[in-house]
Amino acid sequence: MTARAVPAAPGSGGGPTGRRLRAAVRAEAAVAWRYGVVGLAAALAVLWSLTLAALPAPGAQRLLPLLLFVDTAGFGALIAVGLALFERVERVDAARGTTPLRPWEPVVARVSVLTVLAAAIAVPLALASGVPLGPGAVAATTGGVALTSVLLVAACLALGGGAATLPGAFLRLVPGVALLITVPVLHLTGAVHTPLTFLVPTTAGAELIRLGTSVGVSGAQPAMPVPPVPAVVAAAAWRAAGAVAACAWAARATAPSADTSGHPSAPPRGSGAGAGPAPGTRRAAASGSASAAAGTGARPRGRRPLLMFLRFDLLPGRRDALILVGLAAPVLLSLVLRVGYPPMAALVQSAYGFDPASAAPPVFAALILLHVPVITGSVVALRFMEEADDGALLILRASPLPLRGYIAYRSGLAGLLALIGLAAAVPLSGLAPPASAGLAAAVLLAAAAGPLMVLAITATASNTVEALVAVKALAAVSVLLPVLAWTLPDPAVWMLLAAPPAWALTVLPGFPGTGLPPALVLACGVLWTLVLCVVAARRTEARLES
Amino acid sequence: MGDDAVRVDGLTVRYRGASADAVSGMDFAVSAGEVFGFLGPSGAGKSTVQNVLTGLLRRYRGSVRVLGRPLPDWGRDYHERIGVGFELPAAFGRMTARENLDVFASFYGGPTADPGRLLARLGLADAADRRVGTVSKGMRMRLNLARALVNRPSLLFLDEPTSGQDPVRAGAMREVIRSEAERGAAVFLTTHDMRTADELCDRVAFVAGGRIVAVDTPQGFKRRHGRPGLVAEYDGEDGRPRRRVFSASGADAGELAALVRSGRLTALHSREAALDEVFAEVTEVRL
Repeated sequence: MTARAVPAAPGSGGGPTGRRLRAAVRAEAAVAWRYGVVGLAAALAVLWSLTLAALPAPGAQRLLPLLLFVDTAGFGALIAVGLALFERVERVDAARGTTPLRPWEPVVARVSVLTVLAAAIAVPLALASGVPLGPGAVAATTGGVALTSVLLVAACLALGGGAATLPGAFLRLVPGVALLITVPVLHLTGAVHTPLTFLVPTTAGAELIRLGTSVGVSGAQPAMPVPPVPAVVAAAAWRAAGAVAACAWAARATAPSADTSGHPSAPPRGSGAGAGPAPGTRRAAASGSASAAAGTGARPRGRRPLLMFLRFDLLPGRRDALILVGLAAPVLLSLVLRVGYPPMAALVQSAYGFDPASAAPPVFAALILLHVPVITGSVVALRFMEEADDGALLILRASPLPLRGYIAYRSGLAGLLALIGLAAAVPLSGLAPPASAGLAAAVLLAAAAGPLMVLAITATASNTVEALVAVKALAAVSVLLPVLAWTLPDPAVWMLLAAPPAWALTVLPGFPGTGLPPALVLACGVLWTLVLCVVAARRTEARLES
Repeated sequence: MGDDAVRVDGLTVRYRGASADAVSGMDFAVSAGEVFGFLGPSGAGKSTVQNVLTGLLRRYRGSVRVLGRPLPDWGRDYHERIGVGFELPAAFGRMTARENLDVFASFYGGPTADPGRLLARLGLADAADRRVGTVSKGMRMRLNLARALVNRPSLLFLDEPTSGQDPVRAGAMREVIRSEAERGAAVFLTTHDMRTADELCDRVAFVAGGRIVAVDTPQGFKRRHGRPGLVAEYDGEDGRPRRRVFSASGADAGELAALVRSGRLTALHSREAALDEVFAEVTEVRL
């Protein structure tokens, strides 16, 4: 066999660690490319840039720092977790664990690649918003995004990388990163003026974004004192320490080790948490019992296998956090809005002289009406893809449970969760217009987007990572596009109806309106959603059977 | 075969929360250039030992020396010298076979094998540029072996390397593994495939209940657990097939010679045990 000598890259420097790190970054870049992460970054950059360009310049410039902090800097957070979980399915983590790479090197590579993509998204967004961008402003803006991204991605990897499933990872992430996001947002909006906010390391990144995007923009931000140099240095050092700690934590959480249970290379235990079979195995056992019954002559009648699976899937304690996440997230979101929105609106009015009451319908539409089905649809779709990844779906397909029944059940579950979530979140949020036939029709139409979200993801993604990429892209399309209706002229609104979630807005009180009666909109919207659901379900079925 | 590539003395492992040792006081050595088979029923402790030797499991008692140094004295450089082929395929599904090897090769500081030649050696030349997620399990297992060989390891750990292969491919894989041993690599092989163990291993250790219960060459095991003598199958005077055992003492050698001369002999077998029978006997696995 011919051996290849390792070329000593002239001038590359850094010694063995630098060489390994470069190799890890190259590998990570290849992964990001192949799993569609780079394409997603480009798509989000285009979508958000178009949105900012469509908004009036002052509004776009006000929105920009929040958008860059919350969405752009957090771009890689969930994707990093998805990649970590999927690498466990593909056993790449175990294979990499037997190479000379140190455990922290793949983590640094992953954080770096996702951070570079986040910083790259920031530039067109800033340009589209009309913010004057000199070299200093670009450096501050992209630097702030990058600093925040490092912390968020590493923290999410640390918190969620060790979870068994994506819904389980979400449950760990939400409380873990809540402070890292809310405190800087309060700082950015000027709701809180205290140096104590810098105790949260992401606030330094948010401050850099604020500085970068407010240069030359009069009145774009509420007046805030310029921080003294020692404070900036201290904040930077604190943030750097936070980034290093988060990366080290992430390396520890994601490094393959047979010392702990749950890793594929770990031997089975006689007892304890690792003793039980994997979720997929348990699901297989459930369907297997149905098969066994059939084999003894007690053939299940009619839809019995589907009912057995449903019972197994939903009973508390037998599965992970799917239902909990699906039900809790909308309630949590609406409670946060109920508590946080009034003071935030008052603050915006006092700081900018802008009355946010006129923006209440689009805010309600974006954050509740369109967002809740996206949440429930995403959670269910990710469960679907996990079942495909771990082979459980293959086993189910060989059981009496029909594939179409499974697809219908999963998409129906998303619709039901969306309806329950909206029924709770709409009144709880405090943002909803008064009850009316229009609002009821809007809720029904919005809930119908839950199943479509599931089927659109399963029809386009072939693994969990691609599903996460699809979630991010479809969420932007499902929430962002319809809300543009408030800023677009009438003829363009009709074009937005190609996206089924937009139908829900047309009957929402406060919408500029198509003038159609709610019953007609409900019928047409449901029909259009159903057509797309059938197309997506067929494509999903074909993909699974091919 | 040369110096010890692996020397294990008194290896004991107990997992957190477990009431008994997974591996208990295990001793063995593997020489450079030797293929050492590690056989035993599921749960016997084979994977635990492999996890210790590959550095994935660090909580153990006893002495473990690998490639001339105590295992704890090795840093991550140890991984420059070893190759690990897992029981199940491990690769980036969205990358091609060649890209997978390129990526993994880039992690090593020393010379690495040419991915194209390595893939051709394992019968994967035609699939080199196909995404791994689209190829068969057998192909992915061969890619597993290719990845384990990409850094030209001095110590090779293989877990069920011929899983999912047809007999021809399995034979070809055994030849590749044998040639790695001839190159000087020590091969630590875990398998339930007794044919692979029989054909490939220089020595075999049977493991049961966390202990090594017997070590010998496959031939030694088969002889010791077999019975002396030969079994002749021949056509009787009436044309019906017959079977007769001839003793190893030579007392009935004349009759055997006469049978051979008669032209009615159809087959002649030794009475050594098959490795499967040795497995069942030594590890006391009963259904």
